[in-house]
Amino acid sequence: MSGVISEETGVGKALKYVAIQSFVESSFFTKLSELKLNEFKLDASKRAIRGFFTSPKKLNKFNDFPTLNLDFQSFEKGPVADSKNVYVTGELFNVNTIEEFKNLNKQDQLKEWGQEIFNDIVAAKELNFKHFNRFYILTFSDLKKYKFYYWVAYPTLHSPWNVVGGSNEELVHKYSDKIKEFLDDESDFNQFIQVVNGKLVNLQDIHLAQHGTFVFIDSSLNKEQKPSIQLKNYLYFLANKGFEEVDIIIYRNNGSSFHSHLKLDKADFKNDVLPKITGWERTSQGKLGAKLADLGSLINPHQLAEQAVDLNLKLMKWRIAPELNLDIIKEQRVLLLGAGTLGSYVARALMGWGVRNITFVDNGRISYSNPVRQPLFSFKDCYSDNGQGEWKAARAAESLKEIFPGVNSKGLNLEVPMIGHPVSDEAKSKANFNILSDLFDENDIIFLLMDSRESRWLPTVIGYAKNKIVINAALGFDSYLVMRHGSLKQNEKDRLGCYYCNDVVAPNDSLSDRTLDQMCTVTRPGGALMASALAVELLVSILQHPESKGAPNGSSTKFGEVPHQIRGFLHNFQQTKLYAPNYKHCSACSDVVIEKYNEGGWEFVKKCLNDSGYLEDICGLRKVQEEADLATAELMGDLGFSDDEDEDAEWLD
Amino acid sequence: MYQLTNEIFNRYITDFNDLILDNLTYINTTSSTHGSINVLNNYVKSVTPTKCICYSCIELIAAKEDRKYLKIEFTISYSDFYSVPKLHFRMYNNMDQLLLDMDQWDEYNELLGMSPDNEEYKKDYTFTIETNELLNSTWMSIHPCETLEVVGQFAETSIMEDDKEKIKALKYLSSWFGTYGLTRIFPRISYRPTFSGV
Repeated sequence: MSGVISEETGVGKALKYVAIQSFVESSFFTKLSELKLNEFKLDASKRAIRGFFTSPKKLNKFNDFPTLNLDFQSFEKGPVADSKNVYVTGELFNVNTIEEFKNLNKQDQLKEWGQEIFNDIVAAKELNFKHFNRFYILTFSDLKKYKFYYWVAYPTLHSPWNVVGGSNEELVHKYSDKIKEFLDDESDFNQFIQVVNGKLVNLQDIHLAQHGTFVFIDSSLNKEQKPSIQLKNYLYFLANKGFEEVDIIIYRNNGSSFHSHLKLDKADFKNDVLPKITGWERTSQGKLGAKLADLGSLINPHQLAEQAVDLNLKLMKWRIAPELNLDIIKEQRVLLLGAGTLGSYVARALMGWGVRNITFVDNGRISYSNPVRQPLFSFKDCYSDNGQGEWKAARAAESLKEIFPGVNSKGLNLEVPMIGHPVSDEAKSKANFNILSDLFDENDIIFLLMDSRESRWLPTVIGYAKNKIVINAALGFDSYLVMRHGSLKQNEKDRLGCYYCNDVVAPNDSLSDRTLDQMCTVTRPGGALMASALAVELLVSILQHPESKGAPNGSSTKFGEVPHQIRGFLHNFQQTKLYAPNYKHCSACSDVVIEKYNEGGWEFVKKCLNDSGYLEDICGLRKVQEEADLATAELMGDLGFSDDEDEDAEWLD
Repeated sequence: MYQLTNEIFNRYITDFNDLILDNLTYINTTSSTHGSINVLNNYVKSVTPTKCICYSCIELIAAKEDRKYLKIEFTISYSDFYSVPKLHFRMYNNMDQLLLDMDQWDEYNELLGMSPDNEEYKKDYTFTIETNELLNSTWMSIHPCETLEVVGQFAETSIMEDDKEKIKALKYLSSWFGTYGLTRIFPRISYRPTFSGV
C-alpha cells in the first residue's frame, strides 16, 4: 500500500487484514482421486467446485481467521443441502505432473484468476458475496503414492485506502442491533451491506456516492481487530464505483465489532487498469508455498486392509487376552500340503489370525465339484486354462491375494511322493522330494491336508527330521481328526504320537481299487470347516505355549489348553480330545526311521516307497507282527486249536 | 428411558457443538504433563437433508520440553441403526502422520492421560476402522453396540422430567460424550458443561 499521509488529518495508514486459511478435509482428496481415476483422467481443464465458511452468526472463540473448508461434497453440483454454513464457489485446476505444478507461473496464473474476479465485480449486474469470495485451488495428485500437492489462492484486488482516525464506537453501537436483525431476517447471506439513510440495504441496491457507510460481516473473530481479507475486494469495488471516503462497520457476532474510516488515495488508483493482485495462501509459518497431504495410510486400500486386519486382532489382545502373542503368529511361514477343501479353509482361518506367509502344494486341477466346497475357487476356475481347469495350488495362492493383498502366498504344483506307490520315474520323484524337502526348510509350520493317508507319510517323516510344527487334519464321512505331531526333542515318555503311531502296518496304497464311497471326498461338507478351524486354532494354541510344539499333551497357557488330538463325530455331534503317545516301532516317527532318513535321504525314501515291507523291517513292525503271530499261535495252542489246518481244504479237495 | 432421535439430534447438534467449544479443556495435574488444547477447526454441517455431522479438529500440545503433539479430528453424527450418537476420530502426530495403529498411541499415554500399564481405552471399547458413511472416508470409531443402554442409564440421573426438550437433548448428548465420546477415551480431555446458561 502506498501509505500516503492524509493532509487533512495527518493520520494515514493501511488497514491490516487477516488472511484466509484453507482447511481441506481428507475426504476432498479421496473424492478427487476417485474423480481423477474415473472421470477427469488426463483432462486438466478447470472445474467448478465449492467450499464453505462457518456462518458469521456461528463464529466461536477459536475462529481467529476465516477458514475455507473443502471436503468430498466440494465437487457436488446443484443446490446446496446445507443451510448451516456459507458456501462460496471456486475452481479446481488439477495438473497432471509435479513439474507442471512446480513450473506453472504462479504470478501469471493469479493475475488470470484476478482478472476473472475483476470482470465479475466491475461488470456484473447481479452482485452477491460469491463474486467477492472466489477461490482457486491448484492441485497435483500423485495417485500411486496417495500424495496430494495443493495450493489455494483467493485473488484479492488492491485499492489504496488509508485509515483515517480511530474506531467510532458510537456508530458501531448505533447499528449493531439493526445489523443483527438484518442478518436474522434475510434468507440469503449478505456479507456487505450499505447504510442508506439509517437503513440497511444489500449490495444489490447499492447507492452510489462519494461518501458512504457500509457494514462488513466479518468471518473471523480475530482479537487484534483486523477484518478478514475478503473486505479488500469490496473496497476495490467501492473505489471502482467512485467512492472516495467510507465508514466501514466491521460486524461480529460476539460484541467485538469495530469501525474504520477509510479514505481513498485517488492519485494511486486507476479505474481502468487491472489492479495489483495478491492471494496465494501462505503456510502456517507465513511462507508462500504449496501444501502436501500425504494420505497413503488413509486411502491406500492395501494399507487400510493391513491396519484393519491388525486392529481386529489387537482388540482380542486388548480386551480379552492381554498375554496373547500376535507377533509370533504373524511371523510364521506356513506350508499347506493340499489345496482342496481343508487347504482352502485352513488358509482363510490363518489369514484371519494375521498369518502373512502361506504356501500351497497340490498336484491337481480345479474340477466342477470343487468350488462349492473349496472357498478359494469359483465356477470359472473349473473351465479356464483351455477347459482343463486351473491348477489348484496356484489359483488358491492367487485367491488369497484377492482376498487380502497383504498376504505373501505362493502355489506349487507338486506331487508329494507317496508310500506304497512305487517310483516309476525316479528323476521326477527325486526332484519332487527335493523341492518338498526345501519347502520344509523354508517354512515353520506344515499342515497335512491331503486326501489320502499314504501321502502324509513322507511329510510326517520330514517334519520330525527337521523338527517342524506339523498339524494334521483328516476327514472321514462324518468324522474328523485334527492332531499335532510330537517332536524328537520331547522326553520319550511325553513324546506325542504321530498319525501313524497307532498302526501296526506301514501305510500302503489306499487309493487303488476303492469304490467311490471309500474315498475321502465322500464326506459331510461341514466336517471340513470344523476340522480346518480346529487345526488352525490348535496351531495358535501351540504358538502361545512357551514350549511350542514340545508342549506336553493337555498342558495349558493363559490362552487355554493345548491338546494332542481332537476327534469329532457328526453322527452324534460329539467331539473328544485324545492323547496317544509315540510308538517306538512307528513307521513314521520312530527314532530308527528318522535316523535312517537322515542318513539316506532320498535313497531311503525310495526304498520305502517301492516296498513298504522294507519300512516294516526297519522300524520293527515286521518283528512285532511276527511276535504277535507267534503269540497268537501260542495262545491257539494253549486253547487246543490248530492254526495250521486249512478250513477250506476239506471241500476244495 | 430418554431416547434421542435423529430429528432431535439435528435440532440441537449446533447447540451441543457450542457447548463443547465452550467447555472442552485440557486437565493439568501438578504431577504430570502440562498441556493445552486448541481447536483448529470446527463446524456443523448438513450432509444430506436429514443427516447432520459435527466436525472438529483439535490439537493437544504438551508444555513440557518434549513438546509432544497430537492432532485429533473427530466427528459426531447420529446412528439411525443403533439410535445413538456416534463418534468417529483420527489421530495424527506432529508430522501429520495418521496413527491408525493404536499401539502407536502408547507414546502419547501421558499427553492423553493414559497410564502406560493400564490401557483402559483399549479394554473398554471395540474400536474399528470403518468408512464414515457421512464423510465417505475412513475413520476409527467405537462400535455403538452397548451405547444405548449405558448412556441411557447415565442420562437418566441427570435429565429431569420438567427439563425443556433442548436441555434434555443437551444433557443426553453430554452424557454420551462423557461415556462414548472423546473425553472417556482420552481422560486428559475434559468436558464438564453447565446447563444453567443454556
